[in-house]
Amino acid sequence: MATKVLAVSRYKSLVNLLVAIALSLIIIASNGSRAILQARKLVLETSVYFYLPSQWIETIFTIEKDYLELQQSHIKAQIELNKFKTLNKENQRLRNMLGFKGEKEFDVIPANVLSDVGSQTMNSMTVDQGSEDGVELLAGVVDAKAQLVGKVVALSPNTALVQLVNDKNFRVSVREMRSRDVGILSYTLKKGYVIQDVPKNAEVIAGDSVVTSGFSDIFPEHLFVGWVSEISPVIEDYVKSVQVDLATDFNRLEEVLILK
Amino acid sequence: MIDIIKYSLLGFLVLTFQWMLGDVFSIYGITPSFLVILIIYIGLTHSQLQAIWLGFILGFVIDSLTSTDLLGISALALSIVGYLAGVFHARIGRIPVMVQYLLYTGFIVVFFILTVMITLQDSQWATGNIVFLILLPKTIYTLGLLSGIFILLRVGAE
Repeated sequence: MATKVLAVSRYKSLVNLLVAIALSLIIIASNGSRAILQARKLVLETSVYFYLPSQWIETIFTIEKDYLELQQSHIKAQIELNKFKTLNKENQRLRNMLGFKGEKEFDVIPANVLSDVGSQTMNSMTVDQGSEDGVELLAGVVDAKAQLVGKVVALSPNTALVQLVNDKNFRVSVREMRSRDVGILSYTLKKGYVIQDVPKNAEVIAGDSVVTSGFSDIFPEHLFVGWVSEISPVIEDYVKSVQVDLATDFNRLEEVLILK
Repeated sequence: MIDIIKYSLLGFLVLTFQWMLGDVFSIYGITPSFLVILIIYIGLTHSQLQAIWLGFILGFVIDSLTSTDLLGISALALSIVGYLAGVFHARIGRIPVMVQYLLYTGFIVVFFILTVMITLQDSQWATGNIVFLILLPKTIYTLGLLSGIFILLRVGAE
């Protein structure tokens, strides 16, 4: 009798496991479906309520320090801005004289980082602005210094999931500032951030600045990405592989700006 | 019933901890999985069925919160680990300690093989790099934490 009970009990567990596996496979197979997206939206929306209390406590302790830092950086930024305004006017005037089209303008939505998850396989973070705040899917995300952070890959009314630059699936078209060469930046496990297949004759040197090229609708051009750290020849010297040190410090990211 | 509520609440606490503070435990980008430790614990000490279903739900929620890739991988991996741990429910104390730890290692390896290898199957990273730079360090780190927690909770002691 005891053996029969044990056998039934084992069978019951196995059936439950098979149902769980079947459901998991259905979820995996229908990732883009409406039902799954709705379920994800619900989870993301609920997650805000878990984070808000701790964020509130954290704000109380850091607000004065943040204010002083912001005040200092605001003065610096104001001086820089005045300089750039003059240069921009001059640039616009010259572009108009040459007949160039006007550059695409964009707005930003400030957002607090709710939680970031960093592993070597996937890197994402949740922010407290969602579709109701005007955030759109695939919108670019930058930090307070307009340095590249990532892009929005999932949305709920009040939250958004941001895929970070160091996610294995992230690709962005970048330009090396000095030589003006363009390439695709991605994250690799061994070398870190790499611009692959850069032409052999590209005059890239360590220390050069790398910015977004603006060849996509997601990121405008001139968002700062980082600096060239190393150049290594690959495939019998036909092309180069350029390693980049990213400017964004993900460990200290508390607020971000979502491009609109 | 009370046990179900108790372990479900514990599950969501661990999930929140993993989601909000998981990075605090990151060493050179290697983050342990507290969820797999919880599911193994529930499977070994409480109920195989609850381990399977709690693993499935928590896996889906953590995927929804963090995954930029496929949703459902963690749900699949955690329910399988829950089942495997549940096979040794109530008799883990009778198994020699050495074998117990080999089993724990096996459970964690199964979890990371499913999550890491499936997630990275389409990446350009070499399999050797994935195994030696992600899979093994994650397994060792999680096993170290599991050992500490299980010793404190006297899991596996007769």
